[in-house]
Amino acid sequence: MPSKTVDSGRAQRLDKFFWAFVNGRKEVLSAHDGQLFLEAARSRPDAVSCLETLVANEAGLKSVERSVKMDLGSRFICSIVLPFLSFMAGPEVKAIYEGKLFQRLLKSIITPPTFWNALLGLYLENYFLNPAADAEIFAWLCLEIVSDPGPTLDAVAAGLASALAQSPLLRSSNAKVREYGYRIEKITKLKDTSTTPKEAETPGGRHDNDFANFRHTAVYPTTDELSSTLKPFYRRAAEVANADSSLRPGIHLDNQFRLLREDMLAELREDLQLVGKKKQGKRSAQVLGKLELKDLDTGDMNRGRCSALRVAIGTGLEVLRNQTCEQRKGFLKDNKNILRHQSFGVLCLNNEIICFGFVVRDIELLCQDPPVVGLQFTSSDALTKATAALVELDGVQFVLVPTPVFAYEPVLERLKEMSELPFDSQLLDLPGPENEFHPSEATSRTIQQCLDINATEGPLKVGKKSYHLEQSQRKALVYALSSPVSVIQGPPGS
Amino acid sequence: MSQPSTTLLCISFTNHALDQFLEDILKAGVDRSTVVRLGSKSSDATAGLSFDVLSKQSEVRRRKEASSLLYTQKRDLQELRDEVNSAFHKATRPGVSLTDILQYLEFEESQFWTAFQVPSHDDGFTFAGKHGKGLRSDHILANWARGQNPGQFAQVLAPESARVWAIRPAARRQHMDRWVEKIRGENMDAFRDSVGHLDQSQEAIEAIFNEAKCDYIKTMRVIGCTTTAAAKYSHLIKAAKPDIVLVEEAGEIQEAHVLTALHPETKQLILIGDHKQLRPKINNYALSVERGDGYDLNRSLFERLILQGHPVVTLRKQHRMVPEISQLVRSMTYPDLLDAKSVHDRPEIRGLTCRFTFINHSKPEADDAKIRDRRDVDPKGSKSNEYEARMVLKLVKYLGQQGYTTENIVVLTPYLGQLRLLRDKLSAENDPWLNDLDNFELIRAGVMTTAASKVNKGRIRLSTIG
Repeated sequence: MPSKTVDSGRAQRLDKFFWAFVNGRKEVLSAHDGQLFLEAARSRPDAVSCLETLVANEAGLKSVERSVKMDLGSRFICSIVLPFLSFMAGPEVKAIYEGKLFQRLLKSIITPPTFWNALLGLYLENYFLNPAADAEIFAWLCLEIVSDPGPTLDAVAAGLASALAQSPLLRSSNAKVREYGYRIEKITKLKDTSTTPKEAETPGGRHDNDFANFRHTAVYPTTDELSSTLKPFYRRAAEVANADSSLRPGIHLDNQFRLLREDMLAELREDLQLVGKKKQGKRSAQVLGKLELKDLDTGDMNRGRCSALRVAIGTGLEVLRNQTCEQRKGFLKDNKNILRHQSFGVLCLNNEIICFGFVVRDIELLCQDPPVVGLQFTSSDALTKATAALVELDGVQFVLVPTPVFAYEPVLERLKEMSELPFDSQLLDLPGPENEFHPSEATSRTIQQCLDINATEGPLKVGKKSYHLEQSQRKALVYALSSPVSVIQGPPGS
Repeated sequence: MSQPSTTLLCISFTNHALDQFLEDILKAGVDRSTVVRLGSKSSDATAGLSFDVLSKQSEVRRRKEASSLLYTQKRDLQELRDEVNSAFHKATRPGVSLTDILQYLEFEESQFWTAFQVPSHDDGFTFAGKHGKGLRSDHILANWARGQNPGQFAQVLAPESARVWAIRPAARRQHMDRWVEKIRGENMDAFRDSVGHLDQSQEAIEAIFNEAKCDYIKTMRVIGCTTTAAAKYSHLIKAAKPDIVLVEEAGEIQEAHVLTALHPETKQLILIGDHKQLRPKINNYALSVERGDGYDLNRSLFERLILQGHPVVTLRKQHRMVPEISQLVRSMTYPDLLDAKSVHDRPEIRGLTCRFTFINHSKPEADDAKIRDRRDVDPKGSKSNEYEARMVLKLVKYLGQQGYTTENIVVLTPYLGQLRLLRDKLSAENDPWLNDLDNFELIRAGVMTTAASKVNKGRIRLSTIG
């Protein structure tokens, strides 16, 4: 939503100013600077390239951060800052780069909360200059804060929730503001998975990876977690189904995460128990021993990747022992299953787990004598633990574990990210107004065709093709085209 | 699909079902250039739809602003990288220097630090250390650590410093050890923090690289993937913003996999499947519906909605089974099943009196502890039956004598153990051809080598069920 500058001379000056600030040649030192900068920013041809430029230049976001704080009076906020926010409020801005650039912009505006507190004050005291438009931007900003996945804005979100409890957005006369308010309420409820007093057991506190809010739980287990003998927390399906309807979406997501993770842990625990022992039914796990830390691999300028440790292997790769470098290359190329890239394993010492990691397979390194392998870990914390262990302790081993964590991890991470549960009223049998769904015109015509055929038993024409559908197929088609969530059962052969 | 602006995401459990669906929609006339398949496997017909291949080939260029963004990020990354490398070397160095200890003490335990400073002379002279060189605090610390007494400084020491020098040698060593440990801890923490920053920056760069892929997928109208790919490429699917999500084999997919494929802009969800057939596969039997404890992890969203009372439309006409067989299925599970006309005119099987035959015998089966069945949560091994395997071999030969080529015959068995036995037996006369999943399972159990699995002359198909 670029604002129209009537005067092209002014437009040119704003353009020059924008680049001066963004390149660091000028600094925002006064309210006047701030005003000009924000006006220049929202005069950019489009919001997406504006955001990219702001983030690409060190002084870009800094200038934004300073500008919004320059003057905390209602005039400055309402006529200078809010229009800038409105410019950046398009969904395409949030969509680029998986929303990461937008997150940074949000962070620079909201933290430290000088500006935010002032804005919140204006809302609570009803001091908006343009109540309708300003309230919309304010509501939008609230939604963005509450939807932010990272921990940085959690405190602000919590404060916001209590402020909105005093003065709910749902009381606004503006429909758009109410819509924002409704969504914010849903998200806040979804994220708040604290249990009701009815539940006998509660999540949290059993070990260092057990939290009331599942979003804080690391996907990969910690040593404490694996050695804990306390029964982990997860609910029966009936408990979820009977939960209070406003809490049900949050509890459902929470439980889906916990159950799925338990499934992964069960398999992982079983595989870990076989470490070091030979059990019937499975090949004994591959153990890499007598490890020596060589170096840290931080990637290169071109693409880079997550940091990995380079470790020389003493025992466990005997199959390579009597081969020359060339022979090894050929052997490793033909046998991709030997130390397969990204295979999962655990770094341990005498059955005590240090951390989990993945193999980084580099044939050149494996041809060295002794062979060197790259090990990536599940977090910077894990990497540090591994480094400390390899440096200080004797007898550290890396054991390859066959658990297919790649099948679980992305789903678990995505469950953590979700701030809204689509189709919640249909999926969880919640009372209240159904999500409205209106088929498009073209679809409606097809639906009508199907209904007409019921009498004639003729073919269905879609585009250039015609299809002969029997009655239950037509019924299924109409159903699917006209419902938000449709369930179609196909017995064998149908 | 006649609407130009609607995007459809199709998810299924198996690669086979996905390929089938994509082939069907191409046949229906959907523009091939708007269809794409995520993930690495594909059939011959769908190989040209691979997203990875197509996105690389496409001419999507990075925008100018994105390039400058990338440049800045890379430059920042290089600085971070240098920082991380030096933090790494500091953290992994075997020893801690005296200077490091002094620096630590200056900030954290200043009473010790003061005790090791070189006292100043009023008359401008400095104290001399070994070899006549100027005395430094690290020399003093070294002497202290060795257990020496303050010597020439004894008179000028402040009372707190005198106390430090009064500490016994054994206790002094303990202090030294404690400081070394603290400093090493600090170095490790600094290392961890810098690695964390580096990894975050790295992710930001990955996002920039992915942006071109996201731009490309937005031009697609139909996206197909399996549930694993849907989770892995979640950000791509999010960028594509599919209006309609169609889930096939929905009875076999865990609810979490369906939920994570949905996004707030999804307008319709269509689930197609059969809850009367296989349930989703899970590992922990204790959480299953069958176990009866109520956790029901392997109850698919599809089944759960039906049990909840959500409206269902059941397709009624089946086109595959001859009436004798469909009657079995109808009487047990699908009372409303109707037969299509096409199933009535199938030719009889030469050499057999009935379309289906149940054979009863009492030869016991053997447990094959080395192999575990895919869907079986029972920890004991898979099963095999030598007698049945020999019977199968004879039957295959017999049908061959009736004029049926092995192209017309498929052998199915519930157990991986039996699969392997059958494979061994049949390979004497034919080349048994197994599917990828069975191959994988047998190799995983260590009873077949990768090389052996590659032999497939397509002679007779052999598979486990499910």
